[in-house]
Amino acid sequence: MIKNFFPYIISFSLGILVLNYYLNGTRLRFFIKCALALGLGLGLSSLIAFSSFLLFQKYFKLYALLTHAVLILGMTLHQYVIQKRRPSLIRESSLPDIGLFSLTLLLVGIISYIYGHFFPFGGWDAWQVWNFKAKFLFESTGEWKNMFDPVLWRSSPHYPLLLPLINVWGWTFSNDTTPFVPFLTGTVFNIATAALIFGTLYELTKSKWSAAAAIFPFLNAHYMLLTTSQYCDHVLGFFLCCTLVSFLFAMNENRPAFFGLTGTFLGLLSFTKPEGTVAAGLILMICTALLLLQKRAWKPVLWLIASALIFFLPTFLFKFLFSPGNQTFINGLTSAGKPSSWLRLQLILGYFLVELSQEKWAGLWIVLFAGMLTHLKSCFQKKFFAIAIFLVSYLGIVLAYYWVNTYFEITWWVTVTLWRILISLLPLFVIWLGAAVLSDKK
Amino acid sequence: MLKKIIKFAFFLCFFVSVAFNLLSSHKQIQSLYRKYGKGASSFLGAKFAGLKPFLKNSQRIGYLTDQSLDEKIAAAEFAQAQYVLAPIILDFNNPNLRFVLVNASSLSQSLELIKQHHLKPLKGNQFNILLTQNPDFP
Repeated sequence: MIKNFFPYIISFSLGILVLNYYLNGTRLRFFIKCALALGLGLGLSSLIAFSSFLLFQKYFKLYALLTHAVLILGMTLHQYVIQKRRPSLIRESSLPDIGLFSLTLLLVGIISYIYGHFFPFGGWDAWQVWNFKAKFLFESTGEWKNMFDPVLWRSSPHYPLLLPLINVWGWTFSNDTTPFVPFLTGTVFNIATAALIFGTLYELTKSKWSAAAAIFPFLNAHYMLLTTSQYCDHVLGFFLCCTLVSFLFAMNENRPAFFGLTGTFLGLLSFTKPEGTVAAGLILMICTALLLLQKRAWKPVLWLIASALIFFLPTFLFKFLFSPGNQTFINGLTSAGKPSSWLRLQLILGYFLVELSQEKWAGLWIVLFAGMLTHLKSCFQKKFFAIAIFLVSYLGIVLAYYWVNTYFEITWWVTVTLWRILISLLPLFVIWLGAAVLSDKK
Repeated sequence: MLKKIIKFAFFLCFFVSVAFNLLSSHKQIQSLYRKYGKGASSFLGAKFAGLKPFLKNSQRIGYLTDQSLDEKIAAAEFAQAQYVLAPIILDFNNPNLRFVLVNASSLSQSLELIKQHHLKPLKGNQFNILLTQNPDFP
């Protein structure tokens, strides 16, 4: 069992080393660096696994391991021998609140285990979509492109491969596709999300209440059932937060390379799910517009766009070379048989309110909206513009998509998918409103 | 003063929600323990484990059943069979491939399907999953 942890440790090390280049000279604390390094490392590992399929038409373990080893050794030598840097994960000589941080992550890990151990194979979409793809990729011996056969439409072959590839990398040290790895991936992303919420809020407010905000979503049974079902929604939510949080700090620190980190996370976000691709495109537009409007130097914009283009490459390759396209789409605006009616729009808007007020959320959204109403001014500070604009436009796009795509019967479709979209947005809402409330409190 | 009252009201709302969440989580975990005991949920795909060695060199096989995939259990069985047998593709209700898995609601129904499609049974397991061969396949 222990060997199943190795890929995550290797990815974390890779993440730290790459992060050092992006964050050179910045003053971010240990907590947020941990979360960003974990996300960055796992994302890069999945891209290395993807390159194995492009080069060898199968998952070549030795290639993946050697690539990781060469990158880690090369960057270690460069940073600590040639550049003679200090290990930058820990900048401070002492780490105040490290106990609180560790306790928060431990609690989230325990809660995730309690829920997750009931479903070692995950939920429906785990074995029909995400883990199925991971197993298909891991066990294929050259026929991995069969995965995009239209006969497998139930497994959404048009969905990008970040999560399945992370699981493929996770199985590197075991010789079989043990269900423990997808379970571990789900738990690691829960812990990383808590670390990111804590780290961001602590960085912005230095408040111990950051721990309460970080644990808050994980107390919700509904949230936990989904995030331990081995689906991709909370992975998308995590990369969404990484992208916008890194942009927020990049704007504060005003170091061009930091914008490169935002671009990198944008690319990884686009490789999670089709919603992630849309969100990444939207964030890129918002961030570029904000940078141009604020008349920043050209370097940050260049860093952002260049790194986004590089890390969007896997998504482009997937989309244009392999994906069979979305087979569950009918354009209701042009379709005579299934038109987008006003009744459909009314149902969508009505259900949106019904969903938010459901008992399963246990008042979670009410607290968030109360936080927004009572700290309205702080919520819409200049530094949170990107988050606020993104959330409003993204929800608008989601509602418009529900209205335009008339392939599915709307009441069924919103019932089974809207809550997942809300769950992927929840950590970002917590970060945004938590920062507004806690900075005001301070 | 008003600002303080509003903030107090917000934190009160937060703590009430935390308490409510803890309570509903406790209920949820209890119901999961009641449903699954200390073990885990059963995996229908286990029925199909062990068939893979007989399907060497097959990239696509047929899957026949008398049940509709609108039925939750039948759909779950099909999806989990696909998961367990990956990277072999299961072609739903296609008997025109070299190998065809037959998984009907009962053994007699499975045998009926075999007869109807002129398939040749090769192997069966304790869950009444039958692996068959299509003799007409070139």
